[in-house]
Amino acid sequence: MHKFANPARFLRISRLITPWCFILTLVSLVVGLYWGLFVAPEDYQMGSAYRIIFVHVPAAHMSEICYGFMAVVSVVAIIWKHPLADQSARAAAPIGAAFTALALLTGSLWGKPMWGTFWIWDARLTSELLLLFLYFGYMAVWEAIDDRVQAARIAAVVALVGAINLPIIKFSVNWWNTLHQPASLLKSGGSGMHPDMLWPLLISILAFYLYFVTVLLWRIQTLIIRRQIRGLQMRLADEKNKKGLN
Amino acid sequence: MGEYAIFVWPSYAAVIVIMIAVGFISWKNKNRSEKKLTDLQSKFDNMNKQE
Repeated sequence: MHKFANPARFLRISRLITPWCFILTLVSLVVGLYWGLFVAPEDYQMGSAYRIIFVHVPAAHMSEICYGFMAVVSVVAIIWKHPLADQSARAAAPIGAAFTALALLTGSLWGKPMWGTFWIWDARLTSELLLLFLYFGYMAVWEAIDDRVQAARIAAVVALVGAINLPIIKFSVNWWNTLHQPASLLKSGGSGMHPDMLWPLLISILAFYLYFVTVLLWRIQTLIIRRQIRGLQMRLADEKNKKGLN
Repeated sequence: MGEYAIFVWPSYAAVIVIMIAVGFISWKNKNRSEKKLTDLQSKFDNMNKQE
């Protein structure tokens, strides 16, 4: 694993993978969204309003996966002090924040026709909102602290502490009496959804995963290149100083 | 879509707009950084050649 975590090797391999990930993202996203929006049958109770789940469920799922990823790479960063781990967590944060914002937005657009309100201080909704603030807090740490090493340490701790919120989001619908429905995709005894609705949802989830990988790789590449730029700028400044002295 | 169209369409529109925006900004930043690195590298190489 350490072999692939070498920044130069990572850059080389990720440059080969990213175009394919991008193409697969586009194809699966178009298929998943079109299927969910136009092909999947109407729900007998919720009518067409349920079609929001084809974007809401993947966004909500990815908001947690992304934070989980940040927590795992933060552990790696703290234990092995690998710079690529810090950069990976940092690169993932804005994507996770976008997924969380989308989950909240599409959830409230689903809530209005189904529950009669855009927002309620329900355990699931509140813990998801808290997740959005955790993403903002994590990103603020990187922006606020100039010392990159110190920023990386504090950001890793924020990511780890915030990970406590993940099981709360997941099990909030079981632990408390909430308006949000319990899990219907992954539950014991198989999915409670009809295959005509399940397949477009699974394809949309796959598309969101691929999107995450594609954008994450672009963002990590950017952070690695910026590091190389800083190194080169320092070398250029050194050369200029030497010439000035001579 | 019927009466629910005003909720369904904005949901899909928000997802598409935000995903494209985040993706495009990330891709653009990567390209800009790559260009800056190439420029700096050639500057550095020229400096060494002059010596």
